[in-house]
Amino acid sequence: MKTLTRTAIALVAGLAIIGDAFLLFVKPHLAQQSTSAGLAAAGTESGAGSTNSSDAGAADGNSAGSPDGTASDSSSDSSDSSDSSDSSSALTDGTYTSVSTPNEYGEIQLQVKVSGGKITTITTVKVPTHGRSQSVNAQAIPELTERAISAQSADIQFVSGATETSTAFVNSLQDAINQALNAD
Amino acid sequence: MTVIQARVIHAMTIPFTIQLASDTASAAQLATLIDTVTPRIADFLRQVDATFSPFRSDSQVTAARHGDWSPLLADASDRHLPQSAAQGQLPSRRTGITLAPDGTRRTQSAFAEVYALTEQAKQLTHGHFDPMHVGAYDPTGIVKGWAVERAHEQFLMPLIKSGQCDAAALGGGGDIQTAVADTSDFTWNIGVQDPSNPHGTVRTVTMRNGGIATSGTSQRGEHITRSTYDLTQATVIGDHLTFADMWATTAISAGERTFRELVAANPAAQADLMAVFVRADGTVSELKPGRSTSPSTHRQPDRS
Repeated sequence: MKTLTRTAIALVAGLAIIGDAFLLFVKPHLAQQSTSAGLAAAGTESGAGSTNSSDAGAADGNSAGSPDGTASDSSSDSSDSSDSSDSSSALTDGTYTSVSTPNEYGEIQLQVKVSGGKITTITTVKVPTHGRSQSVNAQAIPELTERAISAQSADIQFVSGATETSTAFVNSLQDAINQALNAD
Repeated sequence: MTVIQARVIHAMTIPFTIQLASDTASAAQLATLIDTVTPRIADFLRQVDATFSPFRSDSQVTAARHGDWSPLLADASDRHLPQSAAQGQLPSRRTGITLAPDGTRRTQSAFAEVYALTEQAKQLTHGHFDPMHVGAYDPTGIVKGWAVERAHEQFLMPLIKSGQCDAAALGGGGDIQTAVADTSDFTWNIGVQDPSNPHGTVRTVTMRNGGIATSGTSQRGEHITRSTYDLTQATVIGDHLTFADMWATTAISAGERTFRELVAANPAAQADLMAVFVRADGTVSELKPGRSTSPSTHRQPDRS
């Protein structure tokens, strides 16, 4: 019984030490890595990720003309280089937000931090979508036919295959189909 | 009777095939139309190559590989991609925007759009699609599908919408985006290449609006990092070629089992995607949309 209690205590203590060590050494490193590499997998992953996510929302919301429309932590930087002319190719310091058109898998934003005229960090922010965007037209579902077609068949217009090169195109199946179509 | 005209453009060392179909126009009328649009698509593809080729010393991708990521913030109106190509016509899609620290908005650069897509692809596929797989940025695996989809949208969709043709498709090296006017009952029939017979196909896909892409082991230029070798070829059909192409690459990289799991775990992918796999042993299997990961029919390719 005594041995059992000792073992249990040792086990709990051991786990606590391992947990502390993870929080101390591994986790900060992971968070830092995801930020510096600019690959934070958005909101869900870490505190840093969700901060970026809310910043993006704020930046998008009050963007119309406010000089401090971006993340607050970079506003001091942007005042430094506000004298740079528009025609200059040097980048104004601060955080830029690049917002892509939403697609069926969601909406992606890039947060690009510029410091000293150079891009220092690229962070990817995945913005949750409000359901899948539907196609405007009702799509007919493609059909698969279990039918093999021999060369130069008049039944198909295209061939989908592993990347075909320009040098190998002559006399390829697609080449033959194209020529047959134009000859009709 | 439906007439179809076809033209070929060679760009990025790949043959691109344009096809226009019409239920009413004559072959001569359709030929005039396709000869007008072909050089515009050729220009667009050359600009894509100039921007994204990792083999050109002056491309933006090469700059990024050397640590200069400023193309992310480039003003799209400074360049020819893709806005100037649309001059004289209404933009057919909403473009992304870049918000500067001073609150000004600019059109998102094509480079930034593609970078965001590669990051999204990496997340969607749990890293099986990775534009940084060898430590240097290489978006080649997504650029071709993206370029075909954009060119189709920008140059061919207006021809359908204006009634100048009933159907239009653009293929680049085996990856195809198709569309048909709502008023036409035309369907595109696309053969899935038999990887062991250059003049044979293993399936026929009948579709109206969508993208179809094939990846294979013989593919060059995409530098796929593979974790398994169970598939010889993967063909993916979806609403949009950019993602169909990305998923096909992922299938080759991840293998059939992992691919089915990735698709099953993603509602958008599961609702949309179809796939045809050619396994290493030559058997063919399929993935149907909205189904679970249950294995489908196996069948020897018919080499008639």
